[in-house]
Amino acid sequence: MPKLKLKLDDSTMERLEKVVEAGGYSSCEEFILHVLERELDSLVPMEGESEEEIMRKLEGLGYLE
Amino acid sequence: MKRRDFLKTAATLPLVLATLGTGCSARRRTARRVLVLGIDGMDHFLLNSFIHEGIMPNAARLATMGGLNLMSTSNPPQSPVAWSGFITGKGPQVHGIFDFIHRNPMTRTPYLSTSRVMDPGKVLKLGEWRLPLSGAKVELLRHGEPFWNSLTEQGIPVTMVKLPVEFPPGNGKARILSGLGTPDLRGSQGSFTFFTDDARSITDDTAGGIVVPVRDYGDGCYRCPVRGPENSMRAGNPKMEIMADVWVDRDADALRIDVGGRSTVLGRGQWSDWIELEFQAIPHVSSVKGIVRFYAKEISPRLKLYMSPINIHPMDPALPISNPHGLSGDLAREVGLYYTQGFPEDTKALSRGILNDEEYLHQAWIVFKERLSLFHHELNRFKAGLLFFYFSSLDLNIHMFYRTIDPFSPLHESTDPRFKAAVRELYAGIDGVIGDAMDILEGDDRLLVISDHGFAPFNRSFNLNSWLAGNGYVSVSLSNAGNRDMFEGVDWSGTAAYGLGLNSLYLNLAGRENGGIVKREETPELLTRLKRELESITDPVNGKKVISNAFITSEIFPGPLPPHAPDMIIGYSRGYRASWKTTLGGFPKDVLTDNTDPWSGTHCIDPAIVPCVLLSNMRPEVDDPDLTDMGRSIAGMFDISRLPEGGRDIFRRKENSG
Amino acid sequence: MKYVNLVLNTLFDVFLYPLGWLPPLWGLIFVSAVSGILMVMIFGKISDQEGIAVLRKRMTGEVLGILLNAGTPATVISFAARLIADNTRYLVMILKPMVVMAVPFMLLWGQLDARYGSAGLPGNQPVTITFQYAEEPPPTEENDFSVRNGGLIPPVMTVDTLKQVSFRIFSHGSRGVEILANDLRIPVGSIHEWNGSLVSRGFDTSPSLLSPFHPTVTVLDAGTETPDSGWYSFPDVDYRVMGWRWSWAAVFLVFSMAAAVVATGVLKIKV
Repeated sequence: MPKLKLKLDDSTMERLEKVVEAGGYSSCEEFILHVLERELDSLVPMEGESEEEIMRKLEGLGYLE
Repeated sequence: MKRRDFLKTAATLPLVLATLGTGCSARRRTARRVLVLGIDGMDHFLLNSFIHEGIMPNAARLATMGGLNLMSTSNPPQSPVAWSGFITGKGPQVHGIFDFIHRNPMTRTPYLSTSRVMDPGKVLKLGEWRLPLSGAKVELLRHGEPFWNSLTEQGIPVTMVKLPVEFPPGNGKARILSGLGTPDLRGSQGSFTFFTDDARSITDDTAGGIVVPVRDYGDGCYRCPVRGPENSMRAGNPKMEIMADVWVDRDADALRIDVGGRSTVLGRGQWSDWIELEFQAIPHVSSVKGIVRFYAKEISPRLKLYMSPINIHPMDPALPISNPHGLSGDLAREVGLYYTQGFPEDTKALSRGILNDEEYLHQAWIVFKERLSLFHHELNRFKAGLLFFYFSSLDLNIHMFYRTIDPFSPLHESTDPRFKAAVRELYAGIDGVIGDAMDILEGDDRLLVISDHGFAPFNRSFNLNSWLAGNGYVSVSLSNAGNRDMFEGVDWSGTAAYGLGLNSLYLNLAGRENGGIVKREETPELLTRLKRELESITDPVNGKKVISNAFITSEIFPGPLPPHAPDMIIGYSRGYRASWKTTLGGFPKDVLTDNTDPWSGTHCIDPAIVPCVLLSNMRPEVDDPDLTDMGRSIAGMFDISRLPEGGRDIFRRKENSG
Repeated sequence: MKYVNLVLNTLFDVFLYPLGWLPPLWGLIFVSAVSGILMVMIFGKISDQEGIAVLRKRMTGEVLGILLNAGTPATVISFAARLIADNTRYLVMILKPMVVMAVPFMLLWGQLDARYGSAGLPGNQPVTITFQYAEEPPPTEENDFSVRNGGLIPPVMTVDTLKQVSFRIFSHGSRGVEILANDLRIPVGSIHEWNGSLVSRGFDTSPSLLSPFHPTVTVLDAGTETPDSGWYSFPDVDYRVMGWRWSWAAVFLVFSMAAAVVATGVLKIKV
């Protein structure tokens, strides 16, 4: 798995630690990965899936019509 | 020492030892085997009632050991959200699952929240053929670390059978068979096929499956095209298809299905065993295998032949459904073929009237018996470590048969009294499972029986989008959008909020939604207003509150939320649920309507109304266990040095006293 | 032909009987290994071993000649032409033993397919049987058939267009069953308790010339109203070898080849 080093200043690190604790994350790495995935998802949303494909995947889910 | 003193000392000694033990984890006796039964949808009230009726003697016996405990479920109390919490010990802000359905903020199109299949990146084009140079990728959208990683890392064997929200399965050391969320071969959550020459059954409705018109041209043969998955190796991804010849003998009221070089005879009202289908992507080079069951509903005067969703073949899976890869096949060789799809009970076939109550129940019992075979096989090989086994039967069947136990259901009176014992029989079946599990317990073995949520009636439907439109939050032309999905007819430039999924409400947020109009600074006030107004809605029919809690997501889940997180989670009152139309962005005319679908039970409401259940041969040390505590509590039963991060160990007093 | 078929089936039954106590995979491996060794021994007996040895030496020399004279195209071409000619002579030389060996090989292939290619009658699930008639099938009911050591699952259906009768049977255990249809007695074998009997996918009352290569259960006392032939929808079987699932043919080819390679070294047979 590729690794990426990240340098943060003290105040950012402090803020990060606070958010990690408040959000129930087990580590800063988990938080950073989460935020990164979130942003990537919003920038490249559900690539390659048409509306028809999406509806087909939901077919049979008893909770929906 | 006098005899009486000795007895006193002997009597107090275990207490002293127990007190010492709770103070130091190393001194607590650790388990060799921990068996966890995941019973989706087991309800506290029903369980209690059936225990008192005496039809669940094993559950009663277990309750005397560790109590019949209420446990907090997730918010919203939907299975993917709840089981993700069980797996990670964290809330949706970490595992990322907020609803069965999420939406793409840019396009507002819904998608299944738990997994997605990505097409192969590079493809070699040879005329009509497309040769993928890399495989299609299936991605689990649930984030967070599973609790069992800390067990496998420390040498504890782990087996998770039919585990929800674990498709595709992780590739660690745990043996995993994927459960809820596993698609059928067509890529849907379960799409049946119904072959018929009965004109009345032929409709354009495609919910849950397709009706295929067929015809006998006088030779007693119906040529039935079985539509399989898309062929990604052909230009345009046409659907692969194989032909099943169905020969009928109307005098004998029998038919023979010839497909894939094999024949199966069925009489009217008979179910077939599993039949293997092979779809050729490139003839003799590449194929995809699936398995189906047929049911001969009627042969004469009209053919009515039901075919189950095409399940991924466990011996040659087209998509990863187990870890290690060969596990699904090994199990099939040991116990026979089995349903691999995540929602095996065909609730849609019942909702659409393709199967009636009796036929559906028969199919549901087939699923249960298959699951029992898998369960007994795993019990027999369970020597050490953790075994988790999941049963879907209570959840899906009580969704369909809640109407039989709820006199207020619009369908209660019209349901055949023969099926009024269905719920009771299902609970009795699960009690047998608990009994089988208790029978293997020895020494320090632990047994936990947990559910992910309870149950409530679904008698009235709330059209959230229609209410939003009627109160000026959505600009929509209702005449155009009445019975359509996916927000057709909505003017987004005049829309502040919209509903999608079972409990989710989203703001049309500028910078997040495409063409969103709500500014970030306006959101607190808007959400507060929406909460107040939603919680004040009453049903004109009976004066009851429709929504008991409208939760502002950022208030209940602190920290940054992903963009697919809803801004509000609607906690419906008992008896209410999001309407069928509103879940996919429809705008029916009426805000509140009767639910006349056989799907008559729900749990997609206020989590306080549908807590889950914990039965165990150990008594919890806390009064407020939560489903997210289970992973750490299970891990804490073993002799390991590193426990999972999320949740609390509810069986350890010291951890919970601080 | 039915008597040829019967004799062959009986011969193989007798030959394979001692392996009946082995699990099917081990029996198959044993048969494969013995077949490989026997094939090599037969080849050694009926081939011109001296001629093959001479040809092989010459071909080795010609390959060396090509390698040593890579810089002289004319010499390379000359050696290559001689190599091709010798290679052709070699193929002609082994043609006769190959043709002779093809007959037992095809017989063996058919027998092994009939004995190891199917899972037989599963003990826990029904199997559909189809009978093919030459003329319109007589009116049939479930009482017209009985199943020893098993049972018949009604209904019995007729496909008039195809002149076929179909029904399902089940086995009481993992043993084979016997279907009694009019004056026919049709054994339906099971690999789970295999002791030399065929696990055929069907039967034929008047087998064709090719049937010895693909044996079916031979029914000798067929009457006029009895079916001509029939087939069973048995599941295929595969074998677990070194963590992989192998078809019976893969097991046979790999283990017979491995045994043959060893045998050529030990018996010093030139191939």
